[in-house]
Amino acid sequence: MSDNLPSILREVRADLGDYFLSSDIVGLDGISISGEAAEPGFNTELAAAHIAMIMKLAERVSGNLKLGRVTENQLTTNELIALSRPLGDGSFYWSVVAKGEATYGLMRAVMDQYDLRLWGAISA
Amino acid sequence: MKGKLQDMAVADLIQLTCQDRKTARALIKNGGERGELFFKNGNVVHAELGALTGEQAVYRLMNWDQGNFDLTADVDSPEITITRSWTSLLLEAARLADEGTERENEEGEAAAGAAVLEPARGGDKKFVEIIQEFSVLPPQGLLQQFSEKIAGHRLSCLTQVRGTGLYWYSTSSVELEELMEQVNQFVKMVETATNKLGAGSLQDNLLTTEDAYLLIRFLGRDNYYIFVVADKTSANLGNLRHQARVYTDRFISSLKLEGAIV
Repeated sequence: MSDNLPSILREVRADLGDYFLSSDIVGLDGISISGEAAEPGFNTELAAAHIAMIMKLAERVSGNLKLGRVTENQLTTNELIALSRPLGDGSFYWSVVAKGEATYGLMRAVMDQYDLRLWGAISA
Repeated sequence: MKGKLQDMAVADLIQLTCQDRKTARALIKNGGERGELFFKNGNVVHAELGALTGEQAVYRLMNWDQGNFDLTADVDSPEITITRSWTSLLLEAARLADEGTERENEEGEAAAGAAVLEPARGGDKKFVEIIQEFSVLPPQGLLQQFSEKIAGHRLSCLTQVRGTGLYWYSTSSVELEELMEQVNQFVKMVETATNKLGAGSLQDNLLTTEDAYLLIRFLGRDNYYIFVVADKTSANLGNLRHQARVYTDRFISSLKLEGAIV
């Protein structure tokens, strides 16, 4: 197993099975440096840009209320769950999108399992 | 139906009769006094007690904790003196009871020498509980009720992404204007992302920080949403999300009642 970003994201996809929709590693500039999607036509660039903006705005709100560093954002619609986290020193975000039938607990467990490896692969 | 006020308070009688959407008359006797409540299709439309009529008679009757009642179905009211909903009527009664002061009616009451409402007694606790569970409170009151059910609560707002509606409740001072501008920008971005990516209709967004949970629950009506902040150490995340779900419909009903949404 080579510890590079695409291979780790493929493992994430395998762990989530049929629930998996997409996963992206996004820089603060909103550009994806690696992504994996269940649908070939998934618009990675658009998703990456929005993930970065959502996380930046989340940090502003948290900063205003002096609530400390943002550790996670979970967006839920009637169709899907999207979890986003800062990675490592906060210079990248990682998002995982799964079908609405997936549980928040499962997604968090999967992200807990891989976030250090992802940061290790980025900073290697 | 007949009974004693010791077993069923006047507030309970109103609640049961109105929830059954009955048309009826309740004759209530307490010693030498006698009052009447008239219901039409699930609302209190008229009341009489001595020289008192309408709402003032209802408020006075709700202070009776002893006596008998006799409810007769399908009796029409001789007149309409009460137009507010039964929940609103009970809410006003609770508010007056909470004040714990006697309020004099500006003219007629003084002439009749009648105190409209006495301080809340044991029997009144019941209708306060009924109101809390069943009535549609105004948005501000509902937001406070909701907030008090959240462990570790810091701040909550009921507001619109694009609009002027804003209710908020906090136990500490907050620079609300700047905060809500930032929260609204955040919500707009979440909405835009959801729409552009065809991700369905938004339900909620949970932001977790080192110290707190920030939950945004979308009401799905006129861009309204609830924004609540709770301390991470004392909040229960499951309960926070559960209460937000439970109160979604209540906030919608409250905003409708307020005329903020149709």
